[in-house]
Amino acid sequence: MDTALALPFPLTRPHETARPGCPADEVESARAAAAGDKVAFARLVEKHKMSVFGLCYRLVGSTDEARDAAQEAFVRAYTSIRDFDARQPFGAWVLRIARNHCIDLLRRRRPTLALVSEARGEDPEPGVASEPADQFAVGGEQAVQESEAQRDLDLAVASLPPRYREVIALFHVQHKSYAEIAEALDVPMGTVMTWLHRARKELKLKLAEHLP
Amino acid sequence: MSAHLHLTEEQIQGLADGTLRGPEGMAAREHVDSCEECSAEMSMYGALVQRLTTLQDPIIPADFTTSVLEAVEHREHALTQHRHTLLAAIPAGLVGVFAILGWALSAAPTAHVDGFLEMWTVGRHVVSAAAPVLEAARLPLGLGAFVFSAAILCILIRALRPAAAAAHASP
Repeated sequence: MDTALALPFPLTRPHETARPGCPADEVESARAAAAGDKVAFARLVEKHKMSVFGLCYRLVGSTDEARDAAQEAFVRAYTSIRDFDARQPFGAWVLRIARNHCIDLLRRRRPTLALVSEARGEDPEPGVASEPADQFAVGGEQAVQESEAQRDLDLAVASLPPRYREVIALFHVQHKSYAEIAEALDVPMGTVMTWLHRARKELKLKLAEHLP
Repeated sequence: MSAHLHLTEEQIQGLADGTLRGPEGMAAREHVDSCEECSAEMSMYGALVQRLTTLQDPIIPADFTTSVLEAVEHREHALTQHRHTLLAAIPAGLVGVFAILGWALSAAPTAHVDGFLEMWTVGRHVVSAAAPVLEAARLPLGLGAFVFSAAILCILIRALRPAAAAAHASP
């Protein structure tokens, strides 16, 4: 595939070039939280905890660390909520805080493969049997193959560089648009698209045996 | 649109994940339908995108929001303590400096001023004139510094006591 087909239209669609704003209810909650209303802040946490936790999980690689990182992100968001600019979505802002915190954590620690070991299904407690024994009983060989394919997918995603893991998590797991991801990662939309394309290209090579 | 030209990998990925739409998407789709190579590539990326949609994050703990609010309370408290400590430390430091200077100058004021202000006789005269006052004020100055330091110490203890209590209370 060495010759590109020239298409008469740009790849980026006009509706995706506009960056999203902050919903009115979130602006209200953020203002109330800035005035010290913790119930209002709790509403914001409830609304965004899944996406923040999900991103942290893909970045730091373990459930416990992801929970701690997500919690720290929300605490930092609260302590600096007076600086929150309501022209951007609260979700993107807190995702950016979480992302920066996770990147700091990754820089500080030695490279580990926590997510890889979790994806392999390695039991953290010695002496406790892991799952494969019951797989045949539950769904037969197909279930085992499915399970292995899923594990390989998790392993492949975990082995990607952090920036690629981020875009995979935000696009494919949290179903965010290019514009939302660009806002959250504070990079141009073109960069998001490039990272996503490269990430999928790497995944295609790593998962070739599971693809048609 | 000729079949011997191929779509780029980005275009195929855009088709596979549904972000390549409109006339551009239709043109790309027509090409894929008529080109075996692009069609194979498209199947591969389609399967990959399908697989990626099965990725799942672990379940977040049910008490997550509560723990965030507790951490927020704790952080606010720590910040307040930090602010109080700083506010108390600044005057305490000033009092310390003031007491040391006062004490040193009141012990032998002219000797110190001679050393520092040799060239300025006017300054020396002023300090010489003030020397009896400083000497007379030596005891009240020392007492005043002691009382002020004690007051600052009390403020510091009051500021730090809740933090110590919180540290004992937490598991």
